Amino acid sequence: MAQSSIVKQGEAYEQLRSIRANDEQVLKALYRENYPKVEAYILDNSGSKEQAKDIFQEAFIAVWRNIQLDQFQPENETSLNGYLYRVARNKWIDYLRSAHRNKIIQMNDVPEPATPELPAEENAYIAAVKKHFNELGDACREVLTRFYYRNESLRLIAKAMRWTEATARNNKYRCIQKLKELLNKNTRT
Amino acid sequence: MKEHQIPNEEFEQIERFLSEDMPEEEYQAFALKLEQDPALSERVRQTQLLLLGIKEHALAGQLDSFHASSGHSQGRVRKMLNAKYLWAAASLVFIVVLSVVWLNREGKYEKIFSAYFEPDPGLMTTMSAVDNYTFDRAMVDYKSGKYEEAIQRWESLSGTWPASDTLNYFIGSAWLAQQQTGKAIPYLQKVASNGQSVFLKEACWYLGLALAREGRAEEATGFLERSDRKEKTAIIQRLQ
Repeated sequence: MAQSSIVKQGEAYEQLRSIRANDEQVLKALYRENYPKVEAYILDNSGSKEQAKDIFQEAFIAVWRNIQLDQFQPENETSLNGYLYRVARNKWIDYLRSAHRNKIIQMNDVPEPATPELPAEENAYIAAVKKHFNELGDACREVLTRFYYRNESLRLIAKAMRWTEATARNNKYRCIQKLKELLNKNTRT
Repeated sequence: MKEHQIPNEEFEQIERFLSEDMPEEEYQAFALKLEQDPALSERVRQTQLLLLGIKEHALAGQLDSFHASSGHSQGRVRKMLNAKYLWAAASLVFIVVLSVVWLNREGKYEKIFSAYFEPDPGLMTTMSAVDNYTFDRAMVDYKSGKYEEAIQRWESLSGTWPASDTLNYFIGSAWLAQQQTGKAIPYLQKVASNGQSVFLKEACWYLGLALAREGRAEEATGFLERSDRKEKTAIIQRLQ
């Protein structure tokens, strides 16, 4: 029994490793496996399909972020599914409470501890990065997405962009600098 | 949050630290330096958040496609005892059963292909140099999903660039994106037989998948082993 629990925990850590590496197959499977239960919950609790999709995607990103920051430790291979569900459910409860402040919301759920949140300043910084990323040129967005999200090597990126590897390295840095300049302008205004 | 200016060398070192892509000794030394240098610690934290923002942006961009491919529930099932509904449901079940039987006969190799194939995203295009115009124009077609048009334009260049790995690779990729594995294989084989090609590992990957779909398991395994995709181990196991 203890051995099988160790194996299952190993599988859970393997899944986390894949998520940290932004493995598309694993992320897609996690999405597919967990969306129906969240949708059913939100539809059963005064929500629409569109709201279910939005809430689930917010929860998905929040859970992904916590995994990237090593703020989630699984106990077994189903811990992540349960965690994602709880985060989505909490987000829906928060939404209902803020949307219907003057009404009593009958929820049969036991309140869950809040998921780890970054300080407001850090949250705002990440939001600013995402906003200003859109203002970069096509080539910069392509290079940065390939390198940091898809974990492609500079060799592969150089091939795709028809650069030398040294050019790819320098351009990656220049793109980061451009993004930082945009962020700097944001903090000054 | 004040934006720190970080020289490229330090930035790359921070990247390697954050991704734990450092020899153990260097990692420990850097971790120790962090504890002793609050300014460095701040730069590392900001870099971590910057890279997180970039990655999160990319993830957010994928979620709608995950949603579209999820086949999520259609809402609640209502109980209906209408005879017409029951006949329609029974017919649907019959069709599904037939499809499952058919898929199981043909399905193992097709399933492997469907599970792992994603078209090569293509190259960035500049549409600038005259002599590459046709190539770039075809690449625009390819990236827009107009694979037939892309193939026609690229094949028109094969007289000018007869031994071009780039052409062969992308013509093969365009056929493969249309699931025409039989037509894709010869082009990808040419690239996979050139040990110096920059497309070698990718060609081996796609050729492996194409051969797998054709049920040529042993050949597929050989090419998949030469690719550098981490999914190859799982596919090779399924092919056995």
